[in-house]
Amino acid sequence: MPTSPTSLNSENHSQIDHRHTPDAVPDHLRRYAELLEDCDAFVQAAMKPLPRVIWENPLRPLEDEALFARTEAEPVSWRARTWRLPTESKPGAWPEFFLGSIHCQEEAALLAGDLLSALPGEKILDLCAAPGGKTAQIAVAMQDKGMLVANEKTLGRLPSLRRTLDRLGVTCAEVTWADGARLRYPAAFFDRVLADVPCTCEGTSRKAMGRREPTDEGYRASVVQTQRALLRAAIRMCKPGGVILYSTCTYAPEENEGVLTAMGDTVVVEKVDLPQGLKASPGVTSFQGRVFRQDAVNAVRLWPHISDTGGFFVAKLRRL
Amino acid sequence: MRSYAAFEPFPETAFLLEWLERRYGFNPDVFSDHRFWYRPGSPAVWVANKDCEPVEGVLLESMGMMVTRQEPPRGMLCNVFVHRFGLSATKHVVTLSKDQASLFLDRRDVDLGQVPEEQGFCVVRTATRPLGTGKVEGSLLHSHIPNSWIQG
Repeated sequence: MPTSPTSLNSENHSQIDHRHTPDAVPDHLRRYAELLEDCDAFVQAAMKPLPRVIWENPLRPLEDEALFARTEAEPVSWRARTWRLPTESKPGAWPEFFLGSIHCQEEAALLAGDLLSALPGEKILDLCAAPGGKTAQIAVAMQDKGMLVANEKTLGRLPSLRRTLDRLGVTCAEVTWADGARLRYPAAFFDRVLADVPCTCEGTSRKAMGRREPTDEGYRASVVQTQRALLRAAIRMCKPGGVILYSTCTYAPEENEGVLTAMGDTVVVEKVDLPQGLKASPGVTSFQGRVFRQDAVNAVRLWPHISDTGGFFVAKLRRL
Repeated sequence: MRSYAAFEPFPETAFLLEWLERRYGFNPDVFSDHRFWYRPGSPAVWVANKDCEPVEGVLLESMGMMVTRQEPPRGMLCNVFVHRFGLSATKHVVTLSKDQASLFLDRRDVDLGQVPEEQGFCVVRTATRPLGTGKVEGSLLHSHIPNSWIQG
């Protein structure tokens, strides 16, 4: 029987998922030691449970403070109207969620949607949109005015994307089902493009409490090809002078700075202006003997032991 | 292989706006920043921001949000549409107390205590927030909140 959205006392702290008890150190993450001053702190932080994060939908603001009486809520220091909740919270069962006043999203991922700096009336593409959290952020920044294309390749993920946009009351979004690398919009059609591409997801280890399998290097090599194809398509569909935001939830420079390097002189990597209160490391120009483009230092990488979030990489590109 | 058609402008927008005003009391100005769309062969009507346009060669899965699944004047308003625009409705509106709203969102029938003049499909809201679509039969309000919206 489904839990009712009106079950206001649904927080049952005795039902913590004990599968989250870590018993193995994710040593495979030590491949990033050369990028870090304190690799042990990183590995330990990568096993800590990740707080749930909710943000208020300005298109349908909260009416009262009821949810704050239901659970602990700590404001996120670098973002307005955004709160961290205990890991075991289930905001998806709350009436505020059902009525579209809040959305639940990983804290690190909020950075990508914000840094795109969408404006009302623009044409914007979210190339890999499901489940729609960043898409919704963009729609909110657009004040639901303009044209936002939310594309998703995987058919099974379309309902979650549609549900997010519907629940948050977005009318400026069109949903497409296509391989982003082959999306058939004209060249230079969009003002801004978000390319939050598929990746090896190493930065999501906190969700699994460090219990992720080591990344298969063959898979990494194949996903890098996908990432390059998607970013090339994003650049093609963006207007000259427009912004392309490239993001992944992995630390691997091959999937981040390496992909940016493959784009050559079609783009420049612009400096990311981090919100006050959020700590991150700059992009790198070399890793394991490979050399990347020099302006990759303008990108940012979130580490769990530095920003107390999941792992994330964001680069703001300007199309030439 | 998908078989549905591409989105086209809804050809009977004037009739739709007249129906929304007559049945639910929506002032047409509420939709001045929006346009209505449909897929030939499908009865559903959609509403999207006026800047949204289909592009030739790109098939859209959805455009904005659905207004009704059946061509007006049949059927009821979709819950997503009521959530977005429901506060602007002035007819066939049922306003619930907080306790009644909890029952309604729980997909349970609500006893209104009296028989409203306006029977049938209605916009259900609290004093400040639209809740969804319901159906008034006698003094009972039936909830039409989709089961799939309720997450555990």
